[in-house]
Amino acid sequence: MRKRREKLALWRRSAAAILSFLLLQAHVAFAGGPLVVGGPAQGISGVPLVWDNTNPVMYRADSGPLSQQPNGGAVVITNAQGVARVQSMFGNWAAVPTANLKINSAGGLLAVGSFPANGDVKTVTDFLTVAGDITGQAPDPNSCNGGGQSPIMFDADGTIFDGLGLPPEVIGFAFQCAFNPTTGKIISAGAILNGRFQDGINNPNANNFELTAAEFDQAFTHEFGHFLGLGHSQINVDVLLNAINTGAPNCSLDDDAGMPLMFPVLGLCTAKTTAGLPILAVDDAAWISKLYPVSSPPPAGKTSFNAAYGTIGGTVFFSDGVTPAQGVNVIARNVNLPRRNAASVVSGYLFTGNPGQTVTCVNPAMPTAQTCSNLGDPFGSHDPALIGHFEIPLPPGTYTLQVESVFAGFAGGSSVGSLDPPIPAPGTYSSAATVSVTAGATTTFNITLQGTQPRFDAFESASLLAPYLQPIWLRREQIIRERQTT
Amino acid sequence: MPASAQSYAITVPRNLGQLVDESQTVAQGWVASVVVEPHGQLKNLMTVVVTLQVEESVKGSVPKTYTFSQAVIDRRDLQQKMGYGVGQHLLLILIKPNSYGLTSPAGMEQGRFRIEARTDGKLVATNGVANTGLFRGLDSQLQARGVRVTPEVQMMVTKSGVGPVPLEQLKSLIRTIAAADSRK
Repeated sequence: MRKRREKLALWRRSAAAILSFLLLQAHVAFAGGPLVVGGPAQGISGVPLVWDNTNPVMYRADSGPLSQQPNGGAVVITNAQGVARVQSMFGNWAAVPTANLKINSAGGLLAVGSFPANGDVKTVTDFLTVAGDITGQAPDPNSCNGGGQSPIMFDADGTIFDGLGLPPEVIGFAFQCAFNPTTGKIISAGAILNGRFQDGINNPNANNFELTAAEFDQAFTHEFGHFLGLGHSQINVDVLLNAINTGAPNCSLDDDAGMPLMFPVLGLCTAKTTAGLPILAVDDAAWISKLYPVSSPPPAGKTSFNAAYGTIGGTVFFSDGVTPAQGVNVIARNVNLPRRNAASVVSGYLFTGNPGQTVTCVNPAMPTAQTCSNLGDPFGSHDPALIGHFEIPLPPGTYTLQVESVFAGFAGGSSVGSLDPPIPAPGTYSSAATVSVTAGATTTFNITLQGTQPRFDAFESASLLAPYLQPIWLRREQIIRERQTT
Repeated sequence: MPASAQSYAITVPRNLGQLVDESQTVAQGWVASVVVEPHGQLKNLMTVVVTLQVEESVKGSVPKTYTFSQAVIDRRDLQQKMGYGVGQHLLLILIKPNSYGLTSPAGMEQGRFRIEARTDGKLVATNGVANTGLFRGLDSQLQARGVRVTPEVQMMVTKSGVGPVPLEQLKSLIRTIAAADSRK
């Protein structure tokens, strides 16, 4: 019996030991770069959903402790400490010199229904009251879904997560609440932090796991990136692949520094602050700046985006050089410290992941959600010109471009790019060519993949997709000639 | 449509042993219906109610038609119905429903496997994180518990990196782990 208990204890200890990385899941990610892009009827088509930064982004914080031991035990992290940590996490984003962002606390939570002003969110009912009607049909105007406030809630002992029927591995989540469907500006968002991961108890037997303060804060700084409208980015993914293959991450300081905070898996490397690194990587700073650029002349303490960043932009093509390729991760690495100084985006990042179709609607001329099987994703542009298109904001310098597949595991909430699940890159690209980036300028650089399968069969031609520069009858004759020669 | 989206949750990774250990039921089946509806007791909570035509109970006793409710946290998950869709072939590792009748896959995306046929007709299973870390540290845990598995399963545990794994071997391993759990 004792031996069995020892075995069980070993099992549990091993369980704790492998909690070395976190899976960060953000649904509907269009990354690297923006989390959500406007669609034909949702915001502005092809334009990322962001906060209106003409005023500070205001959030409201729970009045209870961030962490408390189970069953009404000792408070481990007080409210004041928790609020300070939240402000510090948001401050990481606001401190980017080229990002025009102010993020302030508006104080305690607003009263919503029976939930009192400046209240402590303690129960699942409290949480749902403050979050508000998720359907958006009749939300309390003070609730998050009513657009009334952006609550940061502390579930001190994990009770709320349990009440929602969530498994014990969930350390928290951010969620978007309301946005203006005309302007595409985010109105409210929220987050809830599971204090059970900070209660000083590491007891996997009771499904109570523990993270270091640095890990916990890094995870929620990532979540607050989503809160601000950032999606996931993939750079230095080989660290993850090696960890999978060898069972142990091997992460150099350069790997750690260059891996975006918005990478979907956290904890492969030492927490950035523990390693003495800035919490934001080059990619994070570039993209938050792209979403919230400081204009010129910059205010005191800030730097104009155009004075500090240029852009590499273009389209990824199949080998035919005509057909644009969607869902390919493009990384620009500076020739100096390429593992650190890199930024990325997924080709076609502004285009919808699911254009849908109306052909199979009961009445294709009158498509409705009730009479159609797939009207597609309402988010993301439907403009074909954006298929395969990429843009990467970068500090001035000389870069090489790398192309790779989005990691197969980055699906669903961990998505990188608009395709979910991701696709293997249809071809390869290898070039030592360098691209110069100048502040305030866009360098166009198209990428033609090598070794892709033919996009069309023998009876079709990629020229069908070429811009219609000729009259239709001439194009038809050209196509006929092409077919006769094949 | 593959099973995928599971809200904005940040989760810690767990291996298969821990997911099974934490679960109440493991079932393989086809999604017969997916309905988004308000929770009966909790105001403002929407749930996705999934009915599974169960082919096999791998752990626990699951009726032939099994219905469960999962909370929807983010409003955009309402449209996606948390990634569930009629006709999906799934293997679900589910935690015990709480007092509100709510459950989730253990480890969120980690406990939801979509089942697909390979070109040779054999079925494979892939969870929402492409099985990343599914067998991490499991070999030593199995040894420590004195759990024996077939050579094929052992190969899967020690050699699999990421991506689909054979369904039958996966279920065999789950049964073995569940049986070891029941002897605790």
